[in-house]
Amino acid sequence: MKTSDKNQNMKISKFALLFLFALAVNFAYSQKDVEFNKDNFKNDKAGFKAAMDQLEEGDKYFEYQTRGSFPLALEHYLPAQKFNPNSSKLNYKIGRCYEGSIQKKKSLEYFKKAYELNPAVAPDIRYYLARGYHLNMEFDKAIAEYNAYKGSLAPKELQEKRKMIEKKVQECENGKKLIKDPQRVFIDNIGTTVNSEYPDYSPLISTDESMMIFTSRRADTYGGGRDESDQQFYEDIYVTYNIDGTWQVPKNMGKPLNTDRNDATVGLSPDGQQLFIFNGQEGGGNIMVCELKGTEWSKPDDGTLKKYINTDFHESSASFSFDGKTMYFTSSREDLSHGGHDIFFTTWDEEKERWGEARNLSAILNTEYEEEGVFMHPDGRTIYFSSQGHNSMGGFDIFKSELNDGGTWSAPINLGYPINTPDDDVFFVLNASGKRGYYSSASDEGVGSYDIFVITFLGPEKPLVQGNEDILLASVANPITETVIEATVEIKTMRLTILKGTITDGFTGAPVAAEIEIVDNEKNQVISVSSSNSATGKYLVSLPSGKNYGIAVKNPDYLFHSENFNIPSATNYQEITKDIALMKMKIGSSVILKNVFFDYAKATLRPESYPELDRLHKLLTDFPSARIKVTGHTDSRGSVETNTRLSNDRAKAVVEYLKTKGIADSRLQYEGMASKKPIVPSAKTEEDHQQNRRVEFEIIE
Amino acid sequence: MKNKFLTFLFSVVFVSLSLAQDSTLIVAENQEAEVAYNRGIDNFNSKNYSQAITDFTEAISFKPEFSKAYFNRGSVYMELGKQSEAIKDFDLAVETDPTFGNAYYSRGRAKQLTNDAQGALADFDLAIQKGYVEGNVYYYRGVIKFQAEDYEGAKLDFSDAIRKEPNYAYAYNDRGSANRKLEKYDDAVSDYKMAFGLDKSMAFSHNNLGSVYRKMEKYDLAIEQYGEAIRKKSDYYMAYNNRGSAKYDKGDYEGAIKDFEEALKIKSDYAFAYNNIGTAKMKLKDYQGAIKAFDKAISLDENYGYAYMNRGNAKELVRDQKGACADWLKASELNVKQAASFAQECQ
Repeated sequence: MKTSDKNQNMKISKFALLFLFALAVNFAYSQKDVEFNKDNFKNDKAGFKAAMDQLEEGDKYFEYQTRGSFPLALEHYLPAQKFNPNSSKLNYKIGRCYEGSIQKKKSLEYFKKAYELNPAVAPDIRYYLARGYHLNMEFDKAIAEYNAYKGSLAPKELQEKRKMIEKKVQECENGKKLIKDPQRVFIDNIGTTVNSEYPDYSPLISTDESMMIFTSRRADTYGGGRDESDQQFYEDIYVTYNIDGTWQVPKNMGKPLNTDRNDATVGLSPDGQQLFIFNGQEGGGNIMVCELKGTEWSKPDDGTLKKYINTDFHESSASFSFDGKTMYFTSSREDLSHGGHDIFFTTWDEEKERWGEARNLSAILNTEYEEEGVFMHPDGRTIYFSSQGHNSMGGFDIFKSELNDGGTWSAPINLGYPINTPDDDVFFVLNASGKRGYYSSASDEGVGSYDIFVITFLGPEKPLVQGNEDILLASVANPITETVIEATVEIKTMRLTILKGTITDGFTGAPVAAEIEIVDNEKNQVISVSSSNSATGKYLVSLPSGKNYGIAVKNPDYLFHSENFNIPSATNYQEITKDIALMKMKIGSSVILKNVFFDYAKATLRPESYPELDRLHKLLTDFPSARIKVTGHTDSRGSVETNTRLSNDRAKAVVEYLKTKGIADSRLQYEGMASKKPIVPSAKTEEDHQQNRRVEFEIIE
Repeated sequence: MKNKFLTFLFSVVFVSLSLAQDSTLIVAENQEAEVAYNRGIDNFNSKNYSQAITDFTEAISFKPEFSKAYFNRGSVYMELGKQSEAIKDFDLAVETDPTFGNAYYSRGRAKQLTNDAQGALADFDLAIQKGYVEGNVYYYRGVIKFQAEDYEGAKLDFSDAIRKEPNYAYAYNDRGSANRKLEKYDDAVSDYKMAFGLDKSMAFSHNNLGSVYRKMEKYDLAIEQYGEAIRKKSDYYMAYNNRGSAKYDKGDYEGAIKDFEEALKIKSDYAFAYNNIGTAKMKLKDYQGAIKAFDKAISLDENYGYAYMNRGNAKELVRDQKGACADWLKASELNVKQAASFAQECQ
């Protein structure tokens, strides 16, 4: 009996132990909500006191509920969380801080924990849980939580929030579709030479990527001040240059661009000579223009933007068209708007020397939601912008649309994942070839701030081709190879030619600031006028495919120089470097008239020649004592007799034109040289012959 | 090679048959030519080919108009692989007997074997004109048309061959191939099935059927047929390679690689298999492994344009843009047009 009793006791105590153990396990798995209450921390009063101080300090910032205050609240909440990780309220607040600042994705783990500790921690916990899943691209879970939240709302609240919640659910649906078809891109941080530990964002590039101007909130901000709202350094504008593929250490651009307040980048002309910046102090946020003159930037000015562009509303981003004649910008103005910020455009008024009345760009692009960060590509037809509407997968997504020949915009296309994310993707710019884009994105490193990233577009997946063979003919031993070729993928490059180079004095080699006039030869219409930089002589012009371009480089002290580029509309992206040496106006100087065209084998001037001949006419009226000799030249093919006659007649046709314009006969000579003075002596290619066929003039007095 | 050999046997069997009848000639006086001729046939049948040639030559010396002797000597030359001698003899055979349909046919075959497709075609046409309307003349004319990419014409000839000779397995196989080229895949399937139904040894018809299924995107059926081809011919590297590709098409990249490796065990210098391993590794995102495989394919065949293009695609993904561009340019020099458009991005 005794023995058996003992056994019984032992059994019981074993059972009790097991029970206790089970309890402990249970406790560990479903944690209890531990409030910040001194009764819960009797053993560490000092620690509790310190944590409470942090909590209260954090709450002060949390109350503001702004982008700037959330990170400040976090600085205090995180130490308190370390002391007591099991407070549902604190987990909820930390989640809210992350959700409302830069490192949004981190919010999820805190919302999850808060909900686990106490499903009633906040009335909107399921909404924020949905946000957390949404930001982490767990779209199905997000949709379930959004719907659960919607289901929990009282009728009045539901009425208020239904549209917003349904939009979020739609964003998740969009996201599900977009991540199924990821874009082939590399997205790289452009590196610590340019990016700092502080926020770096809103990059702008000259279209050849030789220069980048961006906004940063780093310690060497002009004046060294901090913005009160978030305690971070004021925004300043920085520049970095790309030398042999490497971005150099950025420099603060200093005065007059930077002030002791916020100064931010908005838009840059393709040649990098004109910059839009943002001024938050005036008119609810206005756009200013600065110009690079030599090595100096002019003082930001909005004289040409007043009235029509800068309003009492928020104007925040802007972009020039390739010819500088149209400006695209975003504004929160209420008239003409579809809601939120919209994209507007305005054209340069030649007479009044200012930007004209603004018009809403298109109902196809602008939505009732926000549009931001507009960028017009120098191809003259593709616009990039960010929108919270369309098929965004959350926040701002980047879209593109093309201007059709009829002047309407195509339906915007989401640039897709991973360029776009459920977070805000905004302020995107693209280089001329369309191969590389730049934008800023939250960096995963450290406490988190924005860094500048480069996106390399690889285009559609390139097909792989297998090698196979079969014995198709029974009586022939040799196998027959049949290459199965997949449908050709169209490699879409921008249909654009970038012409760039340096303009110098042909004698001294010194840089020359010259006016570069681009003419549509067929329409006899000036497309754009820009100028080379006086300090470097550098110029860059964009020539969208589809025109016969005449290019005249002019400076009053020099003879003009002309170039012709006939670029058929199917021409893909190309970059042409053309350094131009201008000749002084003196006896013996000569110029080839590259934009003078004749009918085949005839001496009839084609109408496309008139802009060039008018330039020559202007030269002769500007220098009334000058006398010129026009010479015609043919290639070496064909008989000498025919060539002499043809070259003579063509030179004469030029002279006759000038005479009809009122130039005295006595100032004009002409001669047909046939092929006696070729540019390429032993011409072989069609291109060589083309160069030799020409009309030129020489100053003879 | 084996196939070529088969063809030879075929024509030789035919020749022997036709000679067997003639050897029943009664030898009378002044029939030295016929005696030598018959001896030639006996020697031919016992594979004493050089003696057979001597015999037929002797027969001709007795009887210079003996067209059958020219014909037989030509057939022996063909058997020995001496096509130009054979053609000369067939010339003499038709010269001495312009109605000799089989001689036109045989000359056509000899020309076909020396890659004189035009000459062969003309001879086959003549043979048919002269009333030689056996299945094989249609069949071989079909082969020439097929090789000239006249698949409709080839199909008609193969059909004629089958009409003349309903168990003509080769003609079924080749008509299947013509149908495949004409993208009449259902017809190709039934032809190939007929072919290996008639001749169980024809592993290549299973392989070809597999390839048609691949085109029809019926990958499981393709894999099954390639497997059948391999079962019938264990060293059938082409079928291994093709089965690998069918698995690749299906998305089974690991399985594909195993098959490509089997092909390489049989034929270690098989550039296609290395290239294909590369493509499967690309799909598995093992870009470095893919590059190594393409390297190997290119080292085996330096003019393998598609391997350059594929390697360029792999290099692009490991951020070697320069290397990618060089490969795309090389591929475009080797007439891979697609690669030229990729290289556009390289400026």
